[in-house]
Amino acid sequence: MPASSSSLEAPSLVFALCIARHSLFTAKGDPWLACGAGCWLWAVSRRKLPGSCGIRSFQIKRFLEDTDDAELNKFVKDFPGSESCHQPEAKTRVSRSHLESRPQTPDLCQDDLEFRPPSWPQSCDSQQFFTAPAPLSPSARPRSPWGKLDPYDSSEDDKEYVGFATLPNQVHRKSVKKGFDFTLMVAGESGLGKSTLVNSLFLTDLYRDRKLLSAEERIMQTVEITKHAVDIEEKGVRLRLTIVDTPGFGDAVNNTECWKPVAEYIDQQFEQYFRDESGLNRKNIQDNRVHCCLYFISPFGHGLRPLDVEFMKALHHRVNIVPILAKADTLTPPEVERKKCKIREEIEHFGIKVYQFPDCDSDEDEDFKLQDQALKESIPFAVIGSNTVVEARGRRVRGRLYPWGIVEVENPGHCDFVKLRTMLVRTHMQDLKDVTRETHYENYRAQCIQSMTRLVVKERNRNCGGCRRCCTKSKDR
Amino acid sequence: MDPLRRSPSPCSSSSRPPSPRTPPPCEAQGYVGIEAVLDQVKIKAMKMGFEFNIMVVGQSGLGKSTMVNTLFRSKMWRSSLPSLGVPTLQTLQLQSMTHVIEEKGVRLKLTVTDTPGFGDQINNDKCWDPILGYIKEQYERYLQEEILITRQRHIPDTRVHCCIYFVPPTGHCLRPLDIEFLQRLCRMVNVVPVIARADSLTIEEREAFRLRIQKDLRTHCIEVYPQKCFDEDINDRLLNSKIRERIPFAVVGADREHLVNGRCVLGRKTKWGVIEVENMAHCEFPLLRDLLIRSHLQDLKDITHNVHYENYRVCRLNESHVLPRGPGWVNLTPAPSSSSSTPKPSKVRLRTHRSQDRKQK
Repeated sequence: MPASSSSLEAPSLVFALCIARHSLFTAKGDPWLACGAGCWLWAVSRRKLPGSCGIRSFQIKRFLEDTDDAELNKFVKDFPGSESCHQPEAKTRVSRSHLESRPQTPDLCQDDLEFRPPSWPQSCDSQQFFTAPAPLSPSARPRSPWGKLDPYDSSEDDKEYVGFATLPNQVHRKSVKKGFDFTLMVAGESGLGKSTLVNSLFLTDLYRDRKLLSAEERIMQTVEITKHAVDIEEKGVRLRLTIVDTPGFGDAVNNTECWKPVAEYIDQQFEQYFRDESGLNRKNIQDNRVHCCLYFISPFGHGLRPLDVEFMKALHHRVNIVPILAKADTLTPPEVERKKCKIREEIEHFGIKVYQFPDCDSDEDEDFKLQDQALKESIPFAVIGSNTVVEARGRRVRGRLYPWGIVEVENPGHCDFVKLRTMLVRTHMQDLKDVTRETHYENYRAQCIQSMTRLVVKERNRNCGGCRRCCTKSKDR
Repeated sequence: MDPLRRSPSPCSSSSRPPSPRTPPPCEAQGYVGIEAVLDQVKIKAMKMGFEFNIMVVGQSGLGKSTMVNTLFRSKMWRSSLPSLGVPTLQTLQLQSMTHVIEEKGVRLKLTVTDTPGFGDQINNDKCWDPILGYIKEQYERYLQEEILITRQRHIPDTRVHCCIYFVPPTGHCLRPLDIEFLQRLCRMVNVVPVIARADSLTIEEREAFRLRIQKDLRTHCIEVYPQKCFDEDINDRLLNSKIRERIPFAVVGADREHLVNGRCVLGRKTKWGVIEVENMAHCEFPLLRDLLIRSHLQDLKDITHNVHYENYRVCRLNESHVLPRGPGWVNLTPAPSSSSSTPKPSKVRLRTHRSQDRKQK
């Protein structure tokens, strides 16, 4: 007798009941009366099911009080879901014991479960009318971000609806299975805290075995492009993160055109994707296109340096640039403000198109608009990164310990790190990818095709040398 | 030189979804918040809306139009009864209707293609050609959009995602026409066979018929949806094998409501009782609807896009004899070979009705 230990959400419950009714009533005598009662049972189950547990004991009790139907009593008792409601609710809280541990969760997130597909009966004579597929992992499930937005949760009669409002859930399920990928590039001079910031952002230790080059070695160094890939999993969602680093940028004495390798790398990724997309086998295309570039501006200058301007102008049509004011703990708050204003002015003055946040809809409320406005005015983000954990106000936080105080990385009052991380990961990751895909990549593709066409036409004209027969023949091809 | 697509500026971001309202709370340290990406994906999907294209195929009188009305709970189609004396249509004419329906904030652009005249003639040879031609035409349209130099952000998807095939309830087995049609169609589109007008069969007869149909499908190597080879993981396989045991569903369609025990139900009223469409004991319509809409709609679209469309594309590329050696090949002119691969053009009358929103936003 299967006992699904975890919660069953509304849709699966409905399916279960449908099938249960079917099996139950074919074995019994009078289909019509049972049918009526069964439909009522179904309607009852459509009432709002609060919390994470599927069908609660009080609902079953209420239902049983409502009808005196003995058949349905038996059915409800046998129903596997009713067992789970006698257990204490599976409150989904993932324990986080220490600072750096990521919530390790089972592969199946709650939404997957609420959407558990209908159980199809083996045969209509089978008494075992509900066999749910075994859940992948029996442990507690975290709250899904869409839990509140589960459709068909209201008390309205479900029969009025067609049922496609589960589409977002279906998409969700597939996304969770497939996982996400994101490529982030960090660029800027050495010593601005790029690696530290990346470690802080994603709570990884990508640069553990790094050896810093000495000055002599740096003289001869050219800009290289290095890639680190890491898989992060949180609450069942997998992210394949690739960090593209540009060591050597801006380090030489003569830095003319040191952005060229970077621009070429980005173009190379576009070209590779273009080839794959135009090829025959498109099943497993590897998407290495750079979705976002964090450009680190030094806090020690007066706004943008010429190198910064040149780099951003070379790259703003290829990639989303997010300017960052690095090592912001060397500046006082008024200095930070002044520098930000100056940098914003200069960005506008030079016509650099950094990544723009999408506008909010006009029907959003004031709070949200203010929030959005605040985010837009925070560019460039003044960030501080840290690889170390310190004790501050009784808690262990990431921070930097100075004799005059402790800088907390995740304190919104100290720096914009939280804003940056929120923007990058939690609210705008998909938009960054979309803009890369729809704007930058499409521009590249259009240019590529046009240049190819021109090349082909030129070749053709050169080869045939204006011969009339050749020209017409090649036109027909 | 075409102007570069402008990087989105504050003025032109109409098509981009807005920032999500509130990012999920950072419950504790040591938490990056990757799962919020799902929220972003969802917002984008909701804003863009969904599309779904469905085709119903079967002989006239099997209740196709009624079934579509029942599935989508609206009078999409007036079931047309041919008047006496009017000659039956000589050629198969496909008719498409598009509606935009909205439910709980989710917008769905639904296109239903009907195929009146299928299998109605005396000689039904090659009556499937117009249908195959129509499906290929939609693939071709998508392909042409995809290889444009400046292509649209979101290519309108008119490809047929699912084809419901109505098997007449003879009670015996699949007819030669059914087998011929299914064999050809399964390779190009997702096909879901159903036993139409199942209220003429008792439960036992239904089961026997179903088993015979399944045997026929296996004998002729017809892979209906959900195809076994596309099961991604163990969960899918478990679920889909259970569905496969019940295919084809025995369905009854009805768009009239009757009063039963004080409730209004969709059904067919006869002297011996009311056949309720939504009642699992009476017919398997809920299973069909759940399969098509509530649980596998996205899967249908994905398989159409990733498998059937890709197969078509590969064939087309090979036909044009241009190997993908570098980006130069995209100069794929609409080759004259395309007209030879599709049969004589069918009369496709597209009747796009006004978009009706069921619930105002």
